[in-house]
Amino acid sequence: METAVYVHVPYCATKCHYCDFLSFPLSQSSLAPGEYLACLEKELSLRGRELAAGGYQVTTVYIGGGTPTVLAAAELDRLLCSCSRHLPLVSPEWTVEANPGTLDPEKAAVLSRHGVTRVSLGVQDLDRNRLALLGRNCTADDARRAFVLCRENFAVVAVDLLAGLPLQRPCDFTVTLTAVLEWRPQHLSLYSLKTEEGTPLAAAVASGEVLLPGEDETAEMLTAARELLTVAGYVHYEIANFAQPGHACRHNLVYWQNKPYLGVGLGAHSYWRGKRLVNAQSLPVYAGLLDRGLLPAAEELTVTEREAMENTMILGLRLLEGVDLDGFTARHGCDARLVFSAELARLKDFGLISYDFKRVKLTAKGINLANEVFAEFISVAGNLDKTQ
Amino acid sequence: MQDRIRNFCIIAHIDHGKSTLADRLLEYTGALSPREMTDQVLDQLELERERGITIKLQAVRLSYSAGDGREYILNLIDTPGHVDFTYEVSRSLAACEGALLVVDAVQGIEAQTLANLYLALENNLEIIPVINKIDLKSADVEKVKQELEDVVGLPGDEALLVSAKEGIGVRDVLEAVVKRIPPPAGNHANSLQALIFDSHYDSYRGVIAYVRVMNGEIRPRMKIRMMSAEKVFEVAEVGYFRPLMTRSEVLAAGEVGYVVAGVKNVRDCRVGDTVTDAARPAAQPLPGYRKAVPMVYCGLYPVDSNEYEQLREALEKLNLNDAALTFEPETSAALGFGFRCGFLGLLHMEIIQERLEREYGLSLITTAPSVVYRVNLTDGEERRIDNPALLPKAGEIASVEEPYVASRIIVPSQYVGAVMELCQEKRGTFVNMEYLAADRALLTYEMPLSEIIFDFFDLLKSRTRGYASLDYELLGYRSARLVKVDILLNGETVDALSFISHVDRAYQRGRELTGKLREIIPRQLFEVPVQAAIGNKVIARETIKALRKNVLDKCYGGDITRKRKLLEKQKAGKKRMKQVGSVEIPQEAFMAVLGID
Repeated sequence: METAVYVHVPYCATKCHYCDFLSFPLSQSSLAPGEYLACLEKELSLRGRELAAGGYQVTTVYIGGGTPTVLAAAELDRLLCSCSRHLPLVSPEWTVEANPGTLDPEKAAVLSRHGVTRVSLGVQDLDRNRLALLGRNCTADDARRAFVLCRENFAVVAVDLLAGLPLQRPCDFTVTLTAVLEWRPQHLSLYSLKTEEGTPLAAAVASGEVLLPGEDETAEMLTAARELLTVAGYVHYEIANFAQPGHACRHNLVYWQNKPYLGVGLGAHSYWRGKRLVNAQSLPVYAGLLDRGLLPAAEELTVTEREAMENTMILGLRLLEGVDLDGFTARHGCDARLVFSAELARLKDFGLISYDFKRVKLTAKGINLANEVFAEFISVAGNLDKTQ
Repeated sequence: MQDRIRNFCIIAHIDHGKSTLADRLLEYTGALSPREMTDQVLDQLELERERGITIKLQAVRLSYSAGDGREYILNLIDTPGHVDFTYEVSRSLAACEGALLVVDAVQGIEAQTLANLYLALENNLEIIPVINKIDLKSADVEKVKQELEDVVGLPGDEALLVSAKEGIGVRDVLEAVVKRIPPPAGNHANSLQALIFDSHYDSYRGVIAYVRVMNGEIRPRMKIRMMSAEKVFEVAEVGYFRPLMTRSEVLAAGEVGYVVAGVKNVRDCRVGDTVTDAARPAAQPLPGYRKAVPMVYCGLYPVDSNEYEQLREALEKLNLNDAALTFEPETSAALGFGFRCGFLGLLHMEIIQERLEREYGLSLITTAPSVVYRVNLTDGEERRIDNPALLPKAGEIASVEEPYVASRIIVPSQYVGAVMELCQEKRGTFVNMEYLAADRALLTYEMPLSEIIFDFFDLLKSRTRGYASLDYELLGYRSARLVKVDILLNGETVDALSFISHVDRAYQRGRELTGKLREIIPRQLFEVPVQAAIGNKVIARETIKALRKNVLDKCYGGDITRKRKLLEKQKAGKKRMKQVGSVEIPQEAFMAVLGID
C-alpha cells in the first residue's frame, strides 16, 4: 500500500510577522539541531519499522517547516540519511521547503544527492518594502538566485506567493506574478495573507500601523492571477495551486483526497489508522517521549464516520476536479448526495458548487468563497460556547 | 423603645460616595468586622458593583452607643441612585424620618441630588447635609456650602464635613442622625400598618418583604392582609437585617425589618403596598401606593429560537425580584418568538438585558427601545402602541401623542450654549434657566421622552465633557407629527427595525440608519439592498455588495483539525446572527437606530 510521510523541521532564520506555525528562530531553540535530528532519527526508525511490517511503500515525502534549509549542509545530510535509512521509499516525490537566502550550492547538492526531486520556494513577493513589512529580509535578486540554483539541481521547483499584502495594489501583484512566471516554475501556490491572532501582524493591523487591501482588491488580484496563469499554460488544480501539466504535488494530493499519511517531528499531524494524531508541541516533551522509546503523539482523536465524510467533502472540494461521487460511495458506504442533500442544494442555489452524476465541484464563484462552502459541511457540535 | 429608633436613608448623586459612607457607618457601628467588609457591602448584585450604582434597595439595622450614653437602633435604608428608579427611591424615603444628603465636595450639587432632595422634602424628612470627599485636593467646601444655601435653602454651616473614604467625620454623622432626626411616630397599640418598601425572592422561603412598621406590631403566626393586593397570608418569621437576616419575636411601630409569610408570587407583595392585621385591619392603607409603570419598551428575542422557553423562565425569575419589569409574548416576522418587555428606563433595560445574558447564559437580540405612543384612530378608537412595527397605517390615524418629560440639567455655565443647542435638536422646549452659582446653571426643558431614550444622555455627556447631570420626570402626553419608518432588506420589511420618528427628522434618520446597517451587516453571498421607507415611499437606499472572497489559506501539513476549528468558529459566528429571509443580520444591527441622530 502506498502512503505519504511529512517531516517537520521547526527552525527558521527569523520569524515572519504573519506566521503562527509551530516554528522558531534557530537561535532561540532550547534544543540544538543535532539533538532534534537525533529525535527525528528515533521517530523515523519507530515509524519505519511499522511501515515495513505493514507492507507500506512511501511514495511521497515532504520536509516542511519552519525552513528546513536553515540547517547546515551536514545536518541536512544527516536528516535525509535518516529518511532514506528508515522509510521504505519507492521512487518518491521528495519535496523540501526552502526560503531564498537559506539555500547555497553546497546544501542544494546534498539534497540532490539524496534524491530530493522538488523544492518548494517560499518567495511570497518580490518587493523589498512589502517583504520588510512582513518581517522578511529578502530581495528580488535573492529570490531569483535561489530559483536558478534550484532549477539546476531539481526536477521540479515550486514557488509560493502571497496576495493581499500590506500596501499591495492589484497591479503590484500582477507585476510580481509576471516576473515569477518568467522563471517558468513548474508549480505555483497563491495564498492570500491571513492575519492570525496573536501575531505581530495582527497587532500592527489592529493599531492601524499596517493597512491591508480590502476584500475586493484581493479578490481582484486572485482573479487576475488565475487568468494570467491559465494563459501561461498552468492547470488550476486546487483552489490555491497551479501546475504545469503532470506537475501537481502528489504529496498534497494525499491530504486533499483525505488519505492516510504519517507526520514526523515536533507538532506534526498524522492521519493514520482512522485517527488524527498530533505530536507534542513542546521540544522537551517531544524529546522526552522519544527518549523512552515512545511515539511522541500528544493528542489522538478518533475520526467518526460522519467527520470522515465531512472531511472528504471539505478537502476534496479544494481540488478543482472536485469530489468523485462513486469514490465517495465506495469509501464511506453511502451516497454523498443523500448525506449532504440539504447542504448541496443550498450551495448550488447560491451558485457556489455544481454537480452532475459523477462529481461535485466548486464553481468559479465558489473558488473565492471556498470557506463558505466548506463551513456548510461542518456539523457544529450541539452547544455553542456562549462566553465567546 | 421607640424614641431610641432612628430611620434614615442616604441620598446622593451617582458617584458622590453614598455607598462608601454606608460602608463606613456599618464598620463604625460594628455591624460587620473589617474582615467581613467587602467593599460597599450594600451593593450586592455583581452588576451593581461593576457599574458602581445601587439598584436593589437594602436595609440594615445598626446599634450605636451615642454620646449621650444611650444605645440607639439606627435603620439605614439604601436608595437607588438613578432616575429610572425614582419610584423605589420614593418608597424608601417614605420609610424614613430623615435623610443624609450627600454632596461631593468637588462636584457640588447635581441634578440627581436635587431630584432626590425634592422627593425627601415631599416626604417631610429631616435633611442632614453631608459634604463628602473633603480630603480631595480640589475640594471646595465653602462653595458647596454656598450652593446648599442658595439652591436647597439649607444652612450651609450645618453641613457635616466628611471623607467617607478616609473615615473622617463618621462619628459626627452618627451623632447627627441621633440628634437631628426625630424618632418614629406611630403607636404599637393601633391596628397594624406596615409599608412594604422592597422585597426579594428566596427560592426556599418565597418573597421576603422589607417593611417599615408605622403602627401596631407584627409577629409570627399572625394572619396579615396585603391591602392593595387583597391577599391574606400567615407570618412565618419576622426579623432585622444586621445586615444578615436575623430572626426576632416582633416588629413594632417604628421598626424596620423583614417579613416572611409564604408569599409565592412577588405580585402579591408589591412595593408600596400596606400590610395590615387580617383580624383587626387598619381603616386606611398608608398613602402613596402606585404601580411602577414602565416607560420604555423593547423586544427581547433569543438568537437561537430553541432558547425561547429558557428566556421565558429567566424573565419570570427576574420578575420575582423586580416587579417593575413587565413582559408579554410577542411575535416578529423577522425575529420569531420573543417578548415585549417594559422597563422603568434605559438603564433598567440594559441591566435586565445584561443579567439575562450573564446570569442565564442567553444570547439575545434586543430591538431598539420605544416609548408608549397614544394613537387616536379615525374611527375614534384609542390605541396604546409600544412597538413601532404595530403603528397603524397613516390613513387610519387621526393623531399620535407621545410622552413628554420635564428635564432638569445642571451644567457649568460655559456649556450652557451647547446644551441648549442639543435640547433644541432633540425637539426640546425651553422652560427656564437659573444660575445655581456664578459658574453653574440649571436648565429646564420639556422634551419628548423618545428623544431622551435614544442617545440624549451620551450626547449631553460628550458635549459637556461629562460635566452635565440630568434628571427628568414624566409630564404627560402631547400630540406630535410622527411617522413610522420601515427598513427593507433585500426588498422585505424587517419589522424589528421599524422606528417612529418626527416627520421632520424621518428622512435624515432613514439615511443614517441605512448607512449604518450597510456597515454593520456583513457582505452576503448576494447583493442586498437596504432601504428606508415611509409607507410605500422609499426615502433612502444603500447596497451591501456581494461577498467576493474569503481567505484562501494554506491547509498546513494536512492539518485538517485546525482547519475544521476555524470553519466551526466561522459557522458559530453565523449562528449568532439572525437569519431574516435570506439575509444574516448580526445582533447589534437591531440596536443601530440608537446611535443615529
